[in-house]
Amino acid sequence: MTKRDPSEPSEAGGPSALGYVVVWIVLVALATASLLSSQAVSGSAGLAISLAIAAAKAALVAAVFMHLAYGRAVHRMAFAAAIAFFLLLVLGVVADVGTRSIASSYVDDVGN
Amino acid sequence: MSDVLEVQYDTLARQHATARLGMWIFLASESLLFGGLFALYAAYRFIYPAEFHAAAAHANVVLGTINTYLLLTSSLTVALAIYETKHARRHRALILLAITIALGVTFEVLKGVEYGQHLADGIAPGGWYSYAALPAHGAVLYFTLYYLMTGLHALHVLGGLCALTWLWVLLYRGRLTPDSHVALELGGLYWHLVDLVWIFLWPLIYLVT
Amino acid sequence: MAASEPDYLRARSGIRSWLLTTDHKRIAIMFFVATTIAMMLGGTFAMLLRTKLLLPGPGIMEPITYNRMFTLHGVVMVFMFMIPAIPAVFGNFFLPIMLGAKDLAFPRINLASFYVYVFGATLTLWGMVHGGADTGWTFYAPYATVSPTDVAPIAIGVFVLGVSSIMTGLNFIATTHMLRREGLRWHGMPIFVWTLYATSIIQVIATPVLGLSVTLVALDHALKMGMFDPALGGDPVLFEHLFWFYSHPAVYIMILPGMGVVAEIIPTFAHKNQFSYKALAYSSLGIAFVGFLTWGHHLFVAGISQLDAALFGLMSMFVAIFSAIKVFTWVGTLYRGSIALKTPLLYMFAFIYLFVFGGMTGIAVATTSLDVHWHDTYFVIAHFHFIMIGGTLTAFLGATHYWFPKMFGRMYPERLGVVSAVLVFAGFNLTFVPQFLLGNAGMPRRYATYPVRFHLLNVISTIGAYTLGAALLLTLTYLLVALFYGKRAPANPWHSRGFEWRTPSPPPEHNFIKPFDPAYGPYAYDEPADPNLPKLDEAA
Repeated sequence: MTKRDPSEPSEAGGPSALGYVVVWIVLVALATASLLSSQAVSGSAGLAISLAIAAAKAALVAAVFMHLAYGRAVHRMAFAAAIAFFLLLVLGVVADVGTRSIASSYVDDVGN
Repeated sequence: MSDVLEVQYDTLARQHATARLGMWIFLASESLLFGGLFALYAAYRFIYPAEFHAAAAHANVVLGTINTYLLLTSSLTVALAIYETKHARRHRALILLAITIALGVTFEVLKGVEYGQHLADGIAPGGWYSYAALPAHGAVLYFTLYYLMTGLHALHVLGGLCALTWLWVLLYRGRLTPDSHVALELGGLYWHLVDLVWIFLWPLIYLVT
Repeated sequence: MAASEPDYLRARSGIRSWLLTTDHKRIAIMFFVATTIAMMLGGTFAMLLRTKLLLPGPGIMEPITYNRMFTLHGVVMVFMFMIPAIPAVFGNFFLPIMLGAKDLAFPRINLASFYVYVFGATLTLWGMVHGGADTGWTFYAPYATVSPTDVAPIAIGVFVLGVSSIMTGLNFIATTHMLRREGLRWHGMPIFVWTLYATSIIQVIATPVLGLSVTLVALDHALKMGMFDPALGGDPVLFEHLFWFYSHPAVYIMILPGMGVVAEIIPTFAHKNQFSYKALAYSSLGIAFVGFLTWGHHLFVAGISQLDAALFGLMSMFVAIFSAIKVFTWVGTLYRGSIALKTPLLYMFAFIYLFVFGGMTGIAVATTSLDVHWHDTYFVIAHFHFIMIGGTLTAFLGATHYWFPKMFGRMYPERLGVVSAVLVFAGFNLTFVPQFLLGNAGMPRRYATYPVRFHLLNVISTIGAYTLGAALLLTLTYLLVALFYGKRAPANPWHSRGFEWRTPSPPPEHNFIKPFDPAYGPYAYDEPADPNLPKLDEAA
């Protein structure tokens, strides 16, 4: 085994200090945009916009602050797996609740 | 986390890389913990859309938004603290890490203020709810989820603050060096997760219009 | 050559060297003791249940006591035995060795996982002593939130046991990625490692959702949180979604490591290479992944939408494809092998037979329309006991016998091993085949009594249970005796090519006298063995 392990990218990788600050400015701008758009757009469209902006913010935090873009591939795999199973859980539950009124032969107490 | 090379590793670099991977696996696990609550939120919001909207009008958007900016900034300061540590500027790193902790503490205090306001109105979780102006089931569920989700998040913030404080002490005592500071990286990663969860909590709790 | 280097059991002495150890092998032994005690405790509850069911009508216990018994049987067996056993015992012991490493990635987290397990078990047992819950191990809302029994300690105990499981999974994933010996690539690893890796992914991803769901039930019960309370607008079915999102993948936590054990034992006792290495490796990942897509089949009659039920039923069929791939591959490995009919292989024959039947009945209940008839009957109980006992416990017993010489440096008595294996198989079938018939005839589960027309089959089932219990006690007895008086075991009593057999029995503290050469694969019986392997057959 060599002393310096060349397969450790995040020892050397990562943005400059300015890079971090620029990302922060973008994050603050996105948050402000989300706040303003929630006043302007409501309902399902408003939800979609705010979640899309949140996803963009999360991607920036993960890629830059957490070094996901600069580190090992297996970190990206762990992150992708977390997202995939998180979505599976949420969508799997909503798939039930969301289709009860159109795909069931009874009506339950909550009027579905 | 020491600089001692454990027997199962050939190099310190490998040991540190494994620690980073371990933290990423832990973060994946934590996302699923919150995932269950997000699933419940999605289900109940689907069942009670109007009542969720009515209830969310009583959320304190000002405090919630300030908290969002606080956490985003704290992510910046902890990332910079690690950067400065790597470049041997310990004094700057100590200041940045202290700011991170201060921002986190402020977050918790504001959360407490928010809880206090709600409780004063009789808005409490589940069977303790007594807010006569919004008696509907959907409203009760919205607020119960509010307490559960922000409460679990606040507990994680607290844990993060304890870890960051311990790391500040390590940094102060010179135990985190430019070549060996993986513990600080792990603390930073955990702190970013706390920020990530809030990035999604904020629109779902406070920006429901 | 360090033939004088003491083995891991003798390297350090004193109680502190065990309680504060970071040696993965010692931690594995401590888990071995703890999970065996758990199995005996869960088995005792089972014997009490079967004794009650000898007679219909009122008997040796009140219905609420019966309800507590089956709850505790389930909780103890699932969370204190089935989930941790093979990973925390054999995974802990052999994963580093099979990768050519000196320990796991995080030895202190490994030790912590043991103490977290003990803490969780203590909480659960404390709840038990305080009367225990009567909700079933599934803690369904709304009953779990209004039950007069003390639900919270057991629910929190389960949460803590789940944390131990996550710690183990995290450790195994990191170890597999980062601590493989130089020259050992993913496609050179033993299949047992692949199955542990797939299991670990499930543990890390699914267990938090269990933790959340039982915590919410405990909060609902103790603090009226009302998340699933219909009176407050809550939907109890949502609890079932969260609970089964974990608990269905959990059954793959229970079976995948067992499948890995099968993949180790069969090549050794057939003295033959795997029929298809890649089939076994990738089907392990396939099972883990598809297992996450099927949880709704536990909710078929709970009130979910019919569209959702149909989707989950369809998904549930797919997981059988990967299980079938494994069964065919194992049989293909046996075919034309040079068979050595020893106790571990007998357990593997039992595994294949019982797992296939259990799996086929799983496909049966995954058929939504049929499940309407079978749900909550003894048919379902028989199905999952075929997999859990017929699969997991059989694999656990097979692994115990297979690796006993390596772990303890002693041989078990082969003839008694065969007798016990046959008795276990007979007792098991006598217990559970009648239960398929009972369930199909309409006997519901979780009832302390039954109509008189089911009497005979219940008596047969109870006789089977006593036989199974006696066989397990016999096994435990001769194994304990063999620990101290068994014949000393050579390094490789089975003449296996596996990596763990290239080190003394028991292994030294840091696992190897000389690291093995991964170029000589663990199943390559048709190729020459490593000529540079040190001579190991003198007992240390």
